[in-house]
Amino acid sequence: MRITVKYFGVLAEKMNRSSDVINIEEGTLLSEFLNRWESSFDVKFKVAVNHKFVEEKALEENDEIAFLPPFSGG
Amino acid sequence: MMSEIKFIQGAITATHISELYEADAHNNTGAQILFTGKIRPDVINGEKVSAIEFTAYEPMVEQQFKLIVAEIKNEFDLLSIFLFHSLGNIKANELCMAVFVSSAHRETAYKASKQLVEKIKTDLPIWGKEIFETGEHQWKVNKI
Repeated sequence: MRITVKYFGVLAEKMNRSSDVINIEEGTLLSEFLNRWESSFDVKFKVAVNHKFVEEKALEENDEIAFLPPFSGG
Repeated sequence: MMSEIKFIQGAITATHISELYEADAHNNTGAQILFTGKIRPDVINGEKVSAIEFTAYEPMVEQQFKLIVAEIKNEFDLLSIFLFHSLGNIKANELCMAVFVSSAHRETAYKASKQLVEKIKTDLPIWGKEIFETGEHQWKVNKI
C-alpha cells in the first residue's frame, strides 16, 4: 500500500524535496516505519499522521505522515 | 464566540489590522487586545537578518488552532479570537503575525492574549528561515 511522507523546514531542505510516496506492507505500525528513519536526520522531529499527533497506529493506505522539526512561527 | 485563522502571503499590513477590528466591531466587546509580531533585524555572529521566510503545514495548523481555541475558550470568557500569520518572505521590520482577542473586560483579554500567543508559538507547525544580508540562511529557533 502507498503512503505519503511529508518533510518540513530544515528536513525538507536536507531531503531536497517536500514529500515522497512510499510503498509499505499492509499493517505496518507507525513505530516500525519510523525505525527505518531513526538515523536519517541529525535533527529532532515530531511525527504527525493525517495532521494529528499520534503515539502508535497501524498505518493505512493513503496515510500522510509528516516529519516536523521544532516549530518557529510567530 | 468567533474565531478565525488566516494565512497572509507576504507581510501583514494596516489593511489586515483594520479587518480584525471590523470583524469585532459589532461584537459588544469592552476590551480588545492586539498582539503583533515583527521581524527583528537580529545580528547573529556579525551577520544581519534581512528577512524571514515562513512556511507552514497548513491543514495541521488549522487543526491545531482549533484545539488551542477550544482550550483558551474553556479558560477565558472571550468574544473573539483571530490569528493572521504570514507566509513567504517577510523583510526586517515588517509584521509577520497578528493575534487579536476581545472580551467584555480588559483583565480577561490581557491574560488570554498572552496565553494564546505562547500556544501559537509552541503548537503550530510553522517554520521560519532567517535570511541574512549575505544571502546565507539559518533555521529560526523560538526563544521563550
